[in-house]
Amino acid sequence: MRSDGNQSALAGLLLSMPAFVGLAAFVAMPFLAAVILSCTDAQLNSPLAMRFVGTEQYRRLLSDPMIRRALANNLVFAAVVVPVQTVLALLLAVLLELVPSGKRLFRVLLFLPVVFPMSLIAVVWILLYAPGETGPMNRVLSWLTLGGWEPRDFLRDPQLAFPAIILLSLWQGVGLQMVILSAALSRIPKELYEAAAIDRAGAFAQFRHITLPQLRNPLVFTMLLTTILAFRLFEQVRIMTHGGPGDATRTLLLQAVESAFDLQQIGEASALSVVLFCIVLCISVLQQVLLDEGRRS
Amino acid sequence: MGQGRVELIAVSKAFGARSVVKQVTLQADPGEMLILVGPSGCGKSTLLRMVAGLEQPTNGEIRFDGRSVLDLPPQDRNVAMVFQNYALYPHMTVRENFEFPLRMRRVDSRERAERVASIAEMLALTAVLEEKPRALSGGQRQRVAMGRALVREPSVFLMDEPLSNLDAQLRVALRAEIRQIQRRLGVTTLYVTHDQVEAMTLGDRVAVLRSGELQQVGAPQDVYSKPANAFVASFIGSFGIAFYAAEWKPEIGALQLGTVAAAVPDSVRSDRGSLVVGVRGDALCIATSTGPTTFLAPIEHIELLGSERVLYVRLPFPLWDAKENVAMGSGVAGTVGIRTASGTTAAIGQQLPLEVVPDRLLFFDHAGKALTSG
Amino acid sequence: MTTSKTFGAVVMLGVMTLFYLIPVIVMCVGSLMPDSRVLTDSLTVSRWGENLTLTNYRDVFERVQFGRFFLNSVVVTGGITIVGLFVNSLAGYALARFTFRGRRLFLFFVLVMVIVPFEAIAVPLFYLVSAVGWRDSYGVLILPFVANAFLIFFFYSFFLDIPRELEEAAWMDGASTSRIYWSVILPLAKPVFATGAILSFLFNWGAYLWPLLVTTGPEFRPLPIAIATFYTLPPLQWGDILAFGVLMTLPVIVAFVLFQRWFVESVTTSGLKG
Repeated sequence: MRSDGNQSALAGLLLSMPAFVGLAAFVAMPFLAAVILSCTDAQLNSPLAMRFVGTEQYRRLLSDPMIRRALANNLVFAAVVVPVQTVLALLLAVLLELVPSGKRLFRVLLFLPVVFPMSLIAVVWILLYAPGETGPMNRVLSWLTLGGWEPRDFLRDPQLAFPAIILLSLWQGVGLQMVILSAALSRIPKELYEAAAIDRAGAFAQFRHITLPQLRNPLVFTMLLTTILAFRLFEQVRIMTHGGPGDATRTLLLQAVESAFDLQQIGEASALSVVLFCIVLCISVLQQVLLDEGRRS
Repeated sequence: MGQGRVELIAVSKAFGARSVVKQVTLQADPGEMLILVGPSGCGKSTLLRMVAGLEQPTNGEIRFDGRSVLDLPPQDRNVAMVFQNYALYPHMTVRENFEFPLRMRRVDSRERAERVASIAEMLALTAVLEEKPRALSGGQRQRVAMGRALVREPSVFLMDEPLSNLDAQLRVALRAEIRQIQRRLGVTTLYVTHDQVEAMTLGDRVAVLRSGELQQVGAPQDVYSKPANAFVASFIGSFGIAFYAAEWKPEIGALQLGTVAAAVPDSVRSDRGSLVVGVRGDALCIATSTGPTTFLAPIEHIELLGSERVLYVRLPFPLWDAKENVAMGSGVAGTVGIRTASGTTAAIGQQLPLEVVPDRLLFFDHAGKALTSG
Repeated sequence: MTTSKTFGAVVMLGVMTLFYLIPVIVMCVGSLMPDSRVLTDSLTVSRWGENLTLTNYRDVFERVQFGRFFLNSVVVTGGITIVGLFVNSLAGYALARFTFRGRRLFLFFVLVMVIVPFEAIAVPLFYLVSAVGWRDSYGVLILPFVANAFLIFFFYSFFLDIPRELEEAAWMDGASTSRIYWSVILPLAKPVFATGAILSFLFNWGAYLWPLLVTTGPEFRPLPIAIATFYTLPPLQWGDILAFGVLMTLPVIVAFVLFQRWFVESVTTSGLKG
């Protein structure tokens, strides 16, 4: 350490002060505010004084069927997107390794949707999901099934609306996961495969016993990252369906934003925010534990 | 510019409750190459960093040419340092690395160019002046690190294990080069290493450290032949040493070492009776005839070193019960390496007839302290 | 055997990529078609060439203040990125290299803040800024995102990895603290700053939730909100909407293609470090 101790202490404080103030004011304070507000019946722009209501907001959340549906949707989203997107990303990453040239081009093309704002993607996919036989998605499906597909109105169909949301989220998310896995894949020492080949391991055995174990941490990381994103699902549903039809595409964050922004119910929205945070916290902790475990072994 | 006398007076350093340097008093004369040697964690690097000004001693005094430098930051001490990992600025070319300390000292551009040219010439780096460090070989990087330190003509030159990242051959070559340059420039040099061979071959004097305490300072030959204690005896020397418990027998006027009676100098004929004998390979010779002073020892391990061969033997004497008997150099614990010409026949397991050379034996008390013969 | 495996991989990857790119193709082709043809023809390759037009692009500028939205996005994202790099890198450097009271506490605080998703604080933050009437300004769009726990930690771990000896060497060479920062640390940190800039840009360019809450009119509205609003603006003209989409992504795509190695590396290093 520096010998000029006092000067260094002062410099350290000064240099970290702006960041500290920023985090305290715009992350820590609102978070504490959420915890406090969630125990009140605060309303935006309301002349009524806010009252302390204890855990009532949380109890209301638990019994609200709309919230239950939202939570169920988030869970379904995670349950579908995490495995499907991981398998797709892994498949693409492995294919990318096998391609002799043009690897970079493919990587750029597949990564492209990641740099698109989600709101733009949502709008473009509204067009893709257009009803009637001229709708692009209907046409592709009809073409793939050799004309066996009956045109549907995806975003207004209670059965199809949420799967439609899931599909476009997959489309946007797979590139990121693929790129991370692909980088990890190219870092696996070639000697491992050579050693395995000498031990007479076939392509599948090599994948099973070398590739997958070597990719353990990137897989854990990306899968849990996707899980967290599943609980932050918002923009697509806000723009494309507003949670409808019925509550088919309602999510927790959409519910939080609508109760705060459209219904001015800050208390309820804060309670939802706290719940959301707790879920993300649990996943993050799980992620850290699993990653540490992987680094140790 | 000063002459470069460095004095450390009762210097101690503690990191929290952990004391890493304890009451070290040491002096380096102008132009001298002083080696600080010891096993890792003995505090030698910390000592060097305190001389550099990168660390402050907890206690004690550091003087350059009689003046205390404790209040001076490193850049005002006129010292230069070569780091173990070289710490070359990776984004600058070799030339820019050399120029950086000169720029910081506001040396004008003409003199800068001259000094850089002459140092590059001296270190055979002229051809790579425009390269970045990552394009250089290990040996070249090491020389750039030296050049960057030397270019501003410091009065004290510090080197922290500068050769430990190189392979064996380069190490030997650069060792000679460093010695030459240091002699030519006549700059006081403190050199830290954990390698006793480096210490013995490089230094005008060697300071042996252990657990933060100074064990002995002296010319390499003196430290080898007159170690202050059993630790120094075991740390210095390439082919191993073994320590045995022996008994002074006044009735026969000789030292009883196992079955062998050895004549010893007067100074160790104490009345204490029991003492410790340190035996290196050069205190043994292969006996040509058998007699009361000869004994047989089994060969446990053989090392070929080209022109010569080292036979590691286990002597049939009672071992001294202390941790110094764990091998420090090469060889197996409790064995002693005898150098022989490579033509001689020897096989593992063979019983070698040996004789001790009494005036090459080392004597210690049971605390490990040397019994001086002078 | 190897060639057939490679061939199979290329074909499979090619087909998957083609399907993957359909939305992008539809957007680009559709933006050049008269509005009435977008729905029927944007997937019909044989009719792509017929009477293409740039009128959609002209319409975008005539129907809304596209330039204004674009400027808003640039100012907000640029502001967050530039000020943020400065603030967060300094904090990371201080945490990695200086000893000061509360250092460990601050580090712990940063690590906790990394976990808090913005979505969980958007509502109370919205409540707080509304309470003081702070809306519709660049400040309210930029300031909450300047200090970023993830970036602080990102810089902190980078600075921690720079060998301390490098700074010590510069110090002994006679460089002052600020000189060490400018001449030794910053040049080494260039790639990290580039990575940080790209990540910050990716986090913020598409931001939707916060601007939705705090912008009420077109004056400070950034592109992601503008496109969603434009879609709801009657009459529904798909050609115009797609042209808007192309216009808002074109600069990003150009930057992305130019710096694609950086983009990909940024995302992977941040991902692999986790």
